[in-house]
Amino acid sequence: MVREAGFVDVELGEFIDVFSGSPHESDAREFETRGVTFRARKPG
Amino acid sequence: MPRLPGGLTAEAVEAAVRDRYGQVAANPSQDFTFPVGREFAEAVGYPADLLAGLPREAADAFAGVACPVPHAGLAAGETVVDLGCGAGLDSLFAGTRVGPGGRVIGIDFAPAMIARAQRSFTAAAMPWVEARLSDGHCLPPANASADAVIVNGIFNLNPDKAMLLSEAFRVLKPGGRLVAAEIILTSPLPPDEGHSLDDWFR
Ligand SMILES: C[S@@+](CC[C@H](N)C(=O)[O-])C[C@H]1O[C@@H](n2cnc3c(N)ncnc32)[C@H](O)[C@@H]1O
Repeated sequence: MVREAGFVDVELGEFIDVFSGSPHESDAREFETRGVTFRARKPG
Repeated sequence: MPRLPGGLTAEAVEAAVRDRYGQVAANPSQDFTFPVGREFAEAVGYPADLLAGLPREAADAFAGVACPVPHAGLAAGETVVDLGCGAGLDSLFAGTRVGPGGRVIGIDFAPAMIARAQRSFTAAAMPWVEARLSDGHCLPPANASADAVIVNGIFNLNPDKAMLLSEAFRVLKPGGRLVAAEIILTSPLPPDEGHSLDDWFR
């Protein structure tokens, strides 16, 4: 989807267990969710 | 626009998101089904000394996913758009990187959130960081005006992710960077999930 928008050089960062150790545990943990950071560049 | 399960409409989801994050802005210490606040910001990687130097107003209502700003390679004088800025923690972090010769535009569609972001920016005395009330599907900045777009945790809240991406693409200069933090599913949701508005906030 990111490439379909026209971006190039799409890079995924590390997957992180966003909700572990946070003061409130989100219900999202129940569903195998992960946090991820990604970068992409507009060509040019 | 993708079809939504359970007869949900994009308008209903947007209204609920605006309302829920308005509640976060008004009373961040309330219990939510997702984590909010300064301790959570530290847990996902915001440096404690950075947090100590910024107004509490921003960190106390932090509701992002990770800490994207260090991955954006920001330089002094650059223009940054923080799409779905919430209370403005990433806008301020970016503001410390681009400095007074740069510009940061924090954009959010929840009026109470953008009011909170504006208070944070004023308290931080960073006039080069501004808050704009707007929907991310139709961004105020001109075409090719930003060096970087930061997004922390809004794709998962929006049915029309392609439109958000295409707006981010439009406002970036050629060579500009999109840096996003997002939550993703590593396996499909059970079939009975995702049918109610409450499921959008879990
Ligand atoms: C999960 S919170 C993250 C806020 C902020 N980025 C942070 O890290 O604390 C998502 C924010 O994006 C805003 N938002 C969601 N969809 C949006 C849209 N289509 N246009 C503008 N703002 C949006 C919400 O109002 C909320 O403040």
